[in-house]
Amino acid sequence: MRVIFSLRARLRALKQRRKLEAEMHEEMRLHLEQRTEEYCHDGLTLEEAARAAAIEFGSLASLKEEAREARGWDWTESLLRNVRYARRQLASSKLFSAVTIGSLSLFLGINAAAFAVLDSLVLNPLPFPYPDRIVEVYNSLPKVGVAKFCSNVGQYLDFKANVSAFETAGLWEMHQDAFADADRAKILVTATVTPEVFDLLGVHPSIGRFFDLTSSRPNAPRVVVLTESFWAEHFHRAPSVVGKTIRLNGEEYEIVGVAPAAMEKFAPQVQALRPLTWDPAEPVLRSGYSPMLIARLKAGSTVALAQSQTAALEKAFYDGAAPRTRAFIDQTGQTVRVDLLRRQRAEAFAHPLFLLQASAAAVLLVAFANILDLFIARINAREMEFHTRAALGASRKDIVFQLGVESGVIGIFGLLGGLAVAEAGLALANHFVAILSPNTVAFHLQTSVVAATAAASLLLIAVTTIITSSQVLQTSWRRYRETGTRTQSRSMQSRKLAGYFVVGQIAFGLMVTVIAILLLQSFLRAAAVPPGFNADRLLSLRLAVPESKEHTLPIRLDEELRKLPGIESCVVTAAPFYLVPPVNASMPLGAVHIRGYEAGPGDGLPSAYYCGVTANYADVLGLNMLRGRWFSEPEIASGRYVVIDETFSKHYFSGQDPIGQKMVINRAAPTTDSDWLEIIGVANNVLHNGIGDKSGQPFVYLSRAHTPFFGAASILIKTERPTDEVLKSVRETVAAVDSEIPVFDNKPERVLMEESIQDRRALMFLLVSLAGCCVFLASLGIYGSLSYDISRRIREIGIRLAIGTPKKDIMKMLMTATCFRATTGVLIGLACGLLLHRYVASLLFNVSPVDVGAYTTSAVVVLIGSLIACLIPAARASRIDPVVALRAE
Amino acid sequence: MKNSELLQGTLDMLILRVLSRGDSHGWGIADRIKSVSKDVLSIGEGSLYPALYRMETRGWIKSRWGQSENNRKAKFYSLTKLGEDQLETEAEAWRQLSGAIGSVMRHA
Repeated sequence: MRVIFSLRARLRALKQRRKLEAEMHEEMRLHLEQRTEEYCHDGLTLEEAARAAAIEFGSLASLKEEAREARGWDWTESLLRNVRYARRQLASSKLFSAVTIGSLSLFLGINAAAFAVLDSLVLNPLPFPYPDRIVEVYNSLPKVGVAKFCSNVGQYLDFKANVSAFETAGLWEMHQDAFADADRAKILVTATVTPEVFDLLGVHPSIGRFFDLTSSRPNAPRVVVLTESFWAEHFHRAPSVVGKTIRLNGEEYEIVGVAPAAMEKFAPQVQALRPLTWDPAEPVLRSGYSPMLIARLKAGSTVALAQSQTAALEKAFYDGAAPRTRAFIDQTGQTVRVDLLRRQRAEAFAHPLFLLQASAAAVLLVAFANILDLFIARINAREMEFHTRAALGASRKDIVFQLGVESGVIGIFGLLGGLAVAEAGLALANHFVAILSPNTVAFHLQTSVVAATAAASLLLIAVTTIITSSQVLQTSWRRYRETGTRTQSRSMQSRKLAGYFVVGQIAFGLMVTVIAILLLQSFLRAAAVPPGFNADRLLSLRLAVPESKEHTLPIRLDEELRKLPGIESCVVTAAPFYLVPPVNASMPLGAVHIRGYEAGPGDGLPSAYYCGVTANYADVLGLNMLRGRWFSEPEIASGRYVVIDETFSKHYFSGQDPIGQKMVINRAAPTTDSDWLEIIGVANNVLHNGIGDKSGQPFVYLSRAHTPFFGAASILIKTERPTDEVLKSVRETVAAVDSEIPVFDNKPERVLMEESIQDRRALMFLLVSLAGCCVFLASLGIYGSLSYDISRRIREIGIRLAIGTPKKDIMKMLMTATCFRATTGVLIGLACGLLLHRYVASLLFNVSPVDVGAYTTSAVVVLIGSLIACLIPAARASRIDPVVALRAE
Repeated sequence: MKNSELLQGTLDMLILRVLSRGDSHGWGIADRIKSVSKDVLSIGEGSLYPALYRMETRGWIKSRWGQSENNRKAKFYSLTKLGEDQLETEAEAWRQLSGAIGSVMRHA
C-alpha cells in the first residue's frame, strides 16, 4: 500500500512539474515580449526589436536549464527524462545493448542459481530455529579408515544425562519399512526417533500429538507420526486420521499426529516417524553404530565445551570397560566427536559448490570487465554528443546522472534477465535432482539470493557510472572545449584501464581453465576405471527382507526365479553400488580375525567390507579368480568357507599363500578350531562402493546363508532379454512368493555405475562450460579493446605506413603490448591456480592437483585464444591503405 | 567566482527590496532596479529568473498569476514573512559591509 501511495504522490508531483514548466515558459515569453516592445518604443522595427531582444535574452533552453536547477533538482523528473534518453540510446546501438544485457543476464543468472544451491546445501542447510546450536555427536574410527560412524543408545543416555553443555539430545535412525498400500506393497522411508528430536528441531504437531519417552519402552503400544506430505498423499489431509492405524512391516501402528512440513526439511525422504525403542532391562550397548545422535547446545555453550565433556565421559567409560572393549577401542582408535550438524551436512557439498560459485564469480568478473570496456569505448565514441550537451548548458552533474541512468537501465535489464536465467537453471537442476533422488527438497530462489543478485548488478551500475563519468569528466571534458580531430588515439588513462582488464581477465580465465581441465582429466580417468565385473546386461533390484524371513525368502525366490526363461540370477545380501537413498551407505564393514596374524604395534584393527553371496554369484558378475576357486553349492550351504579379494590377500598375506588360511569376520575370534572359516579363493578387486571409492578396504565374500541381510536383499540378474520385460516378470515373481515384500530401485547396473560418477560428471560439465565462457570472454575482451584501440589510431598507422614502416613492424607494434599483458595474466593465473591446489585436491580422482600437463594445456589454450584475439585486428590494421586512412580525416 | 557570489547575494537583496514596496512581476522587478539605479544596474534574465526560483524554493517570496498593467497575464511575486526577515538581515549586512568599505576608502 505504501508503495502505491508514494507512487501516486510522485505522479502528482510530476503533473505539478509539467504545470510549472508551462508557467516558466509563459513567464519568460512575457519578459521577451516586454523587451521587444521596449525596443520598438526606442524606434526599432518589430523584426529588429525581436532579434535584439532574443540576442539579449540569450538561449532560452540554457536559461530554462539554469532556472530548473535553481528551482531545485527534482530527481524523478530528471530520471524520467534520462531513462527516455537512455532507452533511445540503447535502442540505437542494438549490438551494444544485446551484448551487455545478454552477457550480464547469463552470468548473473548462473551465479544466482549457483548461490541458491550453495545457500540451501551449504550455507543454510538447517532451516530450524537454532541452526547454530544443533550438533551431531558421532564416532570416528581412524585406525580402520572410517572417519564417521553414527552413535548408539549407550552414548545417548550417558550424554543426555551428563553433558551440561547439552540442553537436550535425541536419536534418529533411518529405516525402509514395507508398507501395504491399498493395492500393492511398497517401500516407505521412515525414521525411528526419540521424542526429544521434535523439541530439538523446534517443530510442533500440525494435528494430534508427538509421542513421548514411554513409547520407547519395548512392548509399548505401537504409534506413528506421519509427515505432512504422507498425510496429504494418503489421507488428503483429513484430520480424522488421528487414531487410525497403518501397517508397517506387517505390524499395526496407531497414528497419533502429523509433523509439520518444516520437519521434512531435516530429512526430505522420511515419510513417517516411529519411536526408537530399547530394553532398559538389558545391558545398554555402547559399541553399535546405528542411530544418529543429535543434540542442542545450551544458549551460550560451545561445540568445544561439548566436545571436551563428551570426551571425558568416553574416557570414563573406557577406564571402566572390559578388556575386550578396551582392546577394540585401542585398535580402532575410536573417539567421540561433536560438530555442528550444519557443518556436517554441508561438508559433502561445500568444496564442489564453493568451487563452482567461485568459477561462476570469476566468469562474472570477466564479463563485468568486458561490459565496462564496452562502456568506455562507447563513451569515447560519443565525444561529439557530450560536446553538444556541454555546449547546451548541461552541467557535470547532468552528465554523471545521464551515465548513471544508462548503466542503470542495462543493470536492471541484466538483473531481470539474470533472475529469469537463474529460475530456469534451478528448474533444470530440480528436474535432474528429482530423477536422481526423489523426495528431496527443491531448490528455489530465496529472497536473500535475489537481494545478492540485485546487489551485484547495483555494484556494476555504480562502478560503471563512476568509471565512465571519470572518463568523461577528467580526460574528455577538457577536450570538449577545444576542437579535436575525429580519430584521436585513445587516452592514456583509458588504455591503462583496458590493460588491467586484459590482465585480470586472462588470469581468471586461466585459473578456471586449469580447474576445469583437472576435473575433466579426473572424470575421464574415473570413467575409464574398470569396475572389476562385467556390467553388461546386468540388472539389479532391491527388496526389503524382514529379519524373520531372511532364512526362507531368498531360497524360495532363487527357486522361483530359476524358472524364468533367459535369465540367470542370484539373491545376495548386498550388490555392488549399494546406492539406495536415503542411506547411501557403503557395504557393511566388519572386524576381521586371522588365525596366526599378529597386528603390529601401531596397526589398526583388521577389517574388511563383506557381503553374503551364492554359488553362481561369480558367474553372474563375471568375476575372475586369481587363485583357488569360487564356492560350490555345498560350500555355500556349509557356511564354513570364504573368498577374499586381491587387496585382502596383499594386505594380510603378503608373500604367503592365502589359500587354506583361516579367518572370521564380524564375530569374535573363535576359541575352537572348527569355528574358523577357510579361505578357498582370491577374486579380482571389485569397486563395490562406486567408482570414486578411495577407501582401499579389502573385501570378503561369505556364504549368504550365514550372513545377516540388515533388512534388505539384492537380486542380480544377467539376461539377454529386454530390461523392462525382465524387471516386470521378476517383480511378479517376487509378489507371487510374498505379496508383502516391496521391490524398489530396479536399475541396470550400468546406470548405477554412471550414477556413481554423476556428481563428478555434472561438476566437470559445469566447470568446463564456465571455463569455455571465461576464455572466450577474455579473448573477446582482448579483441574488442585492441580493435577499438586500432580504430582510434588509424591516422597514426596511416602515417607510419606512408613513411614506409613495414607491415610486420606495424603488427608487432600493435601486438606487443597485448601479448605482454596476456603473458602477465597467464603468470598471475598460474600462480593463483597453484595457491588453490589444496582446495581442488579433494575433488580429483587419480590426478595430481599440480598436474603439469593440465597447467601447460591451460596456459597454451589461453595464450592461443589471446593471440588469435589480437592477431585478427592487428592484421586488419596492417592492411590499411595509408591514402584512405589519411583522407578519412 | 568570488565576484559572482557577491553579486548573487546582492541581487537577492535588491529583488527583496523591490518587492518590499509591493508585488511585481519579473519584468517589473528588472525594470524597477534599472530605473532606480539610473541604468547602472541592468539585471539580465539569465540571473533574474534563477534567482527568483531559488528564492521561491527557499520560501522568501511567493508567486501568483495576475493581470499586468497592460492587461497581460503575468506572474506576480510577493514577499513572505521569511523574505522580510531575510531582507532585514541582508540589508544590515550590506550596511555594515558598505560602511566598512567606505571607511577603508576614506581613512586608509
